[in-house]
Amino acid sequence: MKRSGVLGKLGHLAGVVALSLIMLVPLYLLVINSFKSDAEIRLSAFALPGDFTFDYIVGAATDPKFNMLKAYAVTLFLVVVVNILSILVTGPAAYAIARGRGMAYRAIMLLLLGALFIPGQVTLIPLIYVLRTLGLMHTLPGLFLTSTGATIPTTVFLFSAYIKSIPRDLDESAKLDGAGRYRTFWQIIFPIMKPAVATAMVLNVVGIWVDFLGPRIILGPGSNVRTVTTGVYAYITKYDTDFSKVYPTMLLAVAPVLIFYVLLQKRIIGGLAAGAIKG
Amino acid sequence: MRTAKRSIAILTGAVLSVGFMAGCSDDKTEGSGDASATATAAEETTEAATEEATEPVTLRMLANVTPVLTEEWYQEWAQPWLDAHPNVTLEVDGPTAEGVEQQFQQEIAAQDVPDIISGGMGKTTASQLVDLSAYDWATGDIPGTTYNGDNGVIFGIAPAVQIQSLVYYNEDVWTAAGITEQPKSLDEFTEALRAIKAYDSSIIPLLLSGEWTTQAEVNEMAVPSVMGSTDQLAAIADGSLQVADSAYAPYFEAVETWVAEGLVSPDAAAITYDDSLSMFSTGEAATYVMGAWAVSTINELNTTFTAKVMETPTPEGTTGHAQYGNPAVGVYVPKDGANVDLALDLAKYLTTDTEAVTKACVVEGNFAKGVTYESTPLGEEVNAIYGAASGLVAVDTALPGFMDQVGVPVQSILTGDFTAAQALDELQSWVDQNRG
Amino acid sequence: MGRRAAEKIADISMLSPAVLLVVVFCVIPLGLAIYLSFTDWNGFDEANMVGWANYKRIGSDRDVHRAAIFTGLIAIFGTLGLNVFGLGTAMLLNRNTRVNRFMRFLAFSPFVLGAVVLGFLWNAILGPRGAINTLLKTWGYGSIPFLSQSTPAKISVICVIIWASYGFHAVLYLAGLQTIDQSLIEAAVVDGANRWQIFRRVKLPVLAPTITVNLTLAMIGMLKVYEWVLTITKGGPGGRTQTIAYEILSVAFDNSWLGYGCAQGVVLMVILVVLSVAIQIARRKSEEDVAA
Repeated sequence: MKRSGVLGKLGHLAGVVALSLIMLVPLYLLVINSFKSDAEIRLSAFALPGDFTFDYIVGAATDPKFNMLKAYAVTLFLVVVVNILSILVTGPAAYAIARGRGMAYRAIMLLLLGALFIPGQVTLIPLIYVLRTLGLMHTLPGLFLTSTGATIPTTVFLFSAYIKSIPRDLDESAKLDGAGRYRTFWQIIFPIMKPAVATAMVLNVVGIWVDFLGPRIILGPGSNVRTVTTGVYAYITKYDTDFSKVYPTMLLAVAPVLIFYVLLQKRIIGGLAAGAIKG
Repeated sequence: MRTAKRSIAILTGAVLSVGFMAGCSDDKTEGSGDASATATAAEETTEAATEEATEPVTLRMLANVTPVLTEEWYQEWAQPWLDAHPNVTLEVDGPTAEGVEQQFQQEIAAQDVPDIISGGMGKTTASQLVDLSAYDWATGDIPGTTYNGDNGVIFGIAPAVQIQSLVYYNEDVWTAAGITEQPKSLDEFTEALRAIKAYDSSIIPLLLSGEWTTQAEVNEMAVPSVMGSTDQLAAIADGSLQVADSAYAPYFEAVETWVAEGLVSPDAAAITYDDSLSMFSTGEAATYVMGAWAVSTINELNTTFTAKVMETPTPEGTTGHAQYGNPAVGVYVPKDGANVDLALDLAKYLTTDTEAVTKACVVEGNFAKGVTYESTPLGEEVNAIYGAASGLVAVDTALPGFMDQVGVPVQSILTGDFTAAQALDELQSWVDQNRG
Repeated sequence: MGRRAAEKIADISMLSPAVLLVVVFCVIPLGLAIYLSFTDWNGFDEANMVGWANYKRIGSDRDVHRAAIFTGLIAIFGTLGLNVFGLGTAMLLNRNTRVNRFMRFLAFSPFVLGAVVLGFLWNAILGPRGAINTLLKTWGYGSIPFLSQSTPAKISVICVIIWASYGFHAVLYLAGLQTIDQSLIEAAVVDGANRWQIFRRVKLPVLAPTITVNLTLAMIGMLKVYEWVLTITKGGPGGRTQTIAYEILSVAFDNSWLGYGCAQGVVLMVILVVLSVAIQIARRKSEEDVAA
């Protein structure tokens, strides 16, 4: 493709540099300030650490006020369980809708999609009431079910659009072989849905990871059980006077996610993109 | 390939869940509100449950954590009581919401209330707190004061009281700027600020700040006049007095003048409490309106100049005017906590035991009946002002939320979005909405 | 007959969990929210019916009006910014070079870090005593009121949101761009079309559905903004950067005006639905035009 020579290349380069700088500023600050004292952070936030020390990071990792490891375990657990539940629930549902004929199926699809338009803020307060009645407040199952429910609209949308692009002949031949609906779906269709599943997982994993209101309200503001996001928020609002505690804690909170992202970014971005095309 | 990933995921999940369930159940047995979380707002009347002196119990305290009232301090405060109850552990937690009252309201909604609360709360949640009027130790001659609700209800108790209508100033700068006398009236005060600006334009003459301190600073200045001869807060609450006609008006107008003449920081509306303390203590700002609790932090941070304190200015320039006083380090016991009787016992200790009351006084320079203690020079000046004040005025006749709301339109004056008149009108509009 | 019945039963059991979850966790709470919006519930005492009082209060609540306007501003500029920068970045980084892939990674990174941490960091960068202003002070300049004056604060919040989320949209646009048939572009070049014409005639039509999706997603997201406001400005200064979500969750909720909060939520939802439908209609027309 013909691009306008040197000027174009320089322009591109300038754009890239500018973009990198502006994307990296907060991350840069997060990293270097995790090795500084509170006073140094406030006085010279951009400077490299004068008195480089690992003390603060160690302090944050071992701080009894916020058990980072436990928060990771909780969040990871939440992510895994909700992802599994979500696929188990939305997969078959999307299949039934995509292959279904008739008003009933369209109506159900509309119902499931409509939920997308209900902002969490509307339902949050009554949701507490519902969970209370079901005895699910302050329970992990309560959080699992609510989080799974939250993934349904986008995932069903994504899956059913994808399934529609899979020819029905596959279903027919499976039927001829004597397979029922469930078998047809899980053994024939699901394996073909890889890109969509990848996309859904990316969206769900990130969504659940950064979900703040859900765990906060359902597990309780005073709860011992914290996810990484709610835990970090609780920590930084309580200790925001001491930056030498806040920065290392935030760094520890995002480091694993960042590393995960760096290693899998091709898959993650690719999955998102691939699913998006069909969706 | 993908099935392998799936099984790994499931396996991970399984491992984690086993490991986690163990942790889960531990939390619940030690837990605070979980056991009774399903109960509706019924009153806790059982005493038998808490008689197990050998069973380990954790009391969860929601506390107003500040630079001086640290989590460690709260532990120390309760330590003698904890020593006498070796099976009890105290877990102190600051709020993640805006303040203790907001956090408590969230926890009520989530049905996960603490056992005991320390801080300053208003009437809104009184129905969720144990009514202390039934207890001898909370009525009668107490060292501090109580939080009174409607119909004779006492929803909280404090070991001490504190005064708020104070202005701290940097004596070195003031003297250098030619201010020889402490200004008494608002006009004199503004003159003094102008003198500071003329003396050194790099110093912020008056440090007004943002977040909750805006409301604190304005109320600290205005309340002596607002509650001076008549109860204007009650009148505003029932609609018989417009905010623009109340004693708030001259102060809103003063703020407008100060902003217009550059006597406050242009960033005032976003300066946090902690920043404001350090800005005054390092000499960046020459004058600072704040309650008596700031004394210890200022003493700690200030190493360069002589800090002094005087009472807030009033429109007429009254000397020895009433002080906006409030209960200090208040204590409340939620009705739906898991260990109400134990919590009440702790509350009784913290607010009536001489050693505990003294600690509560010393930490912030507060006052309690029958307690005297050594103080710093700045603390002594505060004592003197307290002694010379015509009295203490409380604000429990205000509309719930009104005192906090005062700061919001004032911040808009600070940013230049509102004139004083507009800000007063805005506050009135809020009052009208909430009166019903 | 047996087979059909069996299939129907299978269908029902396939659909039930999803439908059940949505009904229990979305529909029923929504119904409750609507009911509660007509009461004065405060979360613990009894809920008394108060008719339209909460809605009337929305009509006179200046705080809520300002929040609605700011939310609208975020929706308009945010959606525009996200899509312009998203599409622009996607086009800039379309070729699969190493540099480009690194840039895509960077652009998408805020998505992974989350609003809580990033919001705190930006507050620490832009605040009156933050990184930038402290630096300016040491160089002898005055401070820039990023967060301490209302208009700059609003701009700052919107910019941070765009900064954080354009990468997500860039990815979606990239996906769309990569489905464009190279041969079509080459044919257009041979026909003598310039870059702009290629964009309009070849790329845009293929991108049309992607644009619709991005616009809708962006708009819905912008109307729900909460954590950013919570961590960057706490709604200040003077409550000027409050959004509707913030009003509902941090004002109504924290003051125990739960009935009022529900009423605001219902209004928000109505607006959301209306706007989404409007976008769908507008885009369908535009997609048809482009396809023609």
